[in-house]
Amino acid sequence: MAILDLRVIDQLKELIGGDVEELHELIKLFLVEAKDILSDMDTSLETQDLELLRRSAHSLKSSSQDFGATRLSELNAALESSCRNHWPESAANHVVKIADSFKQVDVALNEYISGPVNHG
Amino acid sequence: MVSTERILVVDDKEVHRKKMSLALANLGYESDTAESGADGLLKLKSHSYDLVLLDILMPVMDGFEVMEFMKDDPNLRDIPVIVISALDREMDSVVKAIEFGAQDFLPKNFDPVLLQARLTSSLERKRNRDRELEHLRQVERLTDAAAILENQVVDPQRLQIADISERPDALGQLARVFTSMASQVFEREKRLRQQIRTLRSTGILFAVGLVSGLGVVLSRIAAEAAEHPFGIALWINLIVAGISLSFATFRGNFPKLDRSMIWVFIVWAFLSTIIAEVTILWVAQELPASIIALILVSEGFIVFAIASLIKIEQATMRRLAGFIVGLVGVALAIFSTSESAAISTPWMWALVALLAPLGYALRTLLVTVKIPHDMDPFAANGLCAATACIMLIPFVILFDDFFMLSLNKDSPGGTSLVLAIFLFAIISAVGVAMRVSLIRSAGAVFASQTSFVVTFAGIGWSIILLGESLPVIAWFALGLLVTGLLLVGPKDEAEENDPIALKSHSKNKPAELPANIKTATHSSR
Repeated sequence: MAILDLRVIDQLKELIGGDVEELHELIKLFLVEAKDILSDMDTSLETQDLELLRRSAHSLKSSSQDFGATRLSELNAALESSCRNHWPESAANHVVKIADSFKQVDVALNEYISGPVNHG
Repeated sequence: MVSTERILVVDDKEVHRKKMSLALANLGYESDTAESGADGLLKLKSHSYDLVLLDILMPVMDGFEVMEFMKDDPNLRDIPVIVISALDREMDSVVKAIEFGAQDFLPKNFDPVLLQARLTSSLERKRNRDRELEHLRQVERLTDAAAILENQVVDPQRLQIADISERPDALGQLARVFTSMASQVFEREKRLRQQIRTLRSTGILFAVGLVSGLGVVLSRIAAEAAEHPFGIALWINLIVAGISLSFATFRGNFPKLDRSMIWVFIVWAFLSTIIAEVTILWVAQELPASIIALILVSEGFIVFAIASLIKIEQATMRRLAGFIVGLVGVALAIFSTSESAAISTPWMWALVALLAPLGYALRTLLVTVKIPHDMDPFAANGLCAATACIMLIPFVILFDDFFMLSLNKDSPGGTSLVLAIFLFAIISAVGVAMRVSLIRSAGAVFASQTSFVVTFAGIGWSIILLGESLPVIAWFALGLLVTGLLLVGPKDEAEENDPIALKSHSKNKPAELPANIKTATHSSR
């Protein structure tokens, strides 16, 4: 599965009216918020906060979907659904996978922003 | 597409809020954002929005709670809510949101076409609902207006249904019919009231004129019986004060006097008694009553001249021409005396006689401006007469003018003097009170038209009671005076902007009202 689905990013660009500057702002905003969510996930692991873990997974699931980070979205969807009823045994494992996947997305999106191919 | 509708985006994640705002702006909508459920409710209460895009899963206050608060608030209840959800895994949440009153839902990964479709549909429903509510409110207002119309005649402007009349539908038609009915009834009622007022004013005008005309003849009779103008005036005013104040007290209208009013009564008494009455009683010793009556018609010109000078009335060319014709008439009336009386310098006496209409004219203006409208006219006249008595005493002593009233045939003047004095006093008590109420209801200029009637009545009474006759030249003078007065007034449409003129105009000239309305309608087209 690809780290980044560029067609989804194109759709997003179309949705917001095609402004590249605005798109880049939006991507940067996503990366900042995603880092916050990851730190929330770490906190929830320490405090065994099921609700915080579930909400974090939910947020990251939907925003990563918007930016074409399909794998990251899938991982978060899996974590979210495992949080439905009780604390999942594999929570820490999930979070580590999500953090790894995000690092790749972070790199890919930064390349997308600075890549000459995407300007214009 | 450009829309004036405002949309509120409620989402705890900035990236989602920003994405949604940009997408809405791309479709031409104005939007505002709230970062939590509580923030969203605050913004909903302080601003006006046409639609809410609401995220369900938010910390502290989630979307369901926001919708519950909105449902409980009558001002927010009708704002449509579209919930945003990841459709594939949150079907339960979507169902629950719609049960909570959400109009629609939008998947998180929506595309512009879907967003546009959802917004258009929800906003259209909102517009229809607003139209229905507005229609219901207007029906309610129209029903209220109909209830008001059923109970009373009102100015259609006070019904406040002008905006409903602008509707192109049946409700608008109904409102237009109501407004037109109301204005027809209102105008008819207004015209009727004005006609009644004019008829009453004209009636009083003739009554005052006839009575005052008789006063001139009685002055002549009294003056021929006793050459004591101050003494006669004292007796007349004593009786007038007695009759008027008793009558006012009987009616329970004895006035409370404040100090500033004392000066008004002193001036009033001076003008009408010392200047006018005494002058008439004095010149009546020499001049026939019909000539005095002729000279009294000048009051109308004097009121006009003063009113023009102090700018409470406009001096148009027509009125100035009337004034000049009137002056020629007065001069001719004075000249005519040389043919009538068997005295040495009758025109001198006639010039002196001009003091009488001058006093009366100033009196009319004073009463218009200074006597409060709620004061009983009999009480006002009585107080004036009482003041006049006090003012007359020094003159009576100075000119040794006092005499006792006696019905004894041998006493000076005898029966005719006593009768003349009593009759004069009675008609003065009634006449002046009527004149005060006429000035109030019809205004100074209309009231000064009394001089027409006084003159005709005075000449008539003189011919009937005293067997006098007017020389031909005096009749010619009378013709000039009448023409002059007709040219001067009573009122003229050009004076509508003047508050005093307008007041007497609208009260007394209803016949001209339709013309005014016509002018107004014409200019509004």
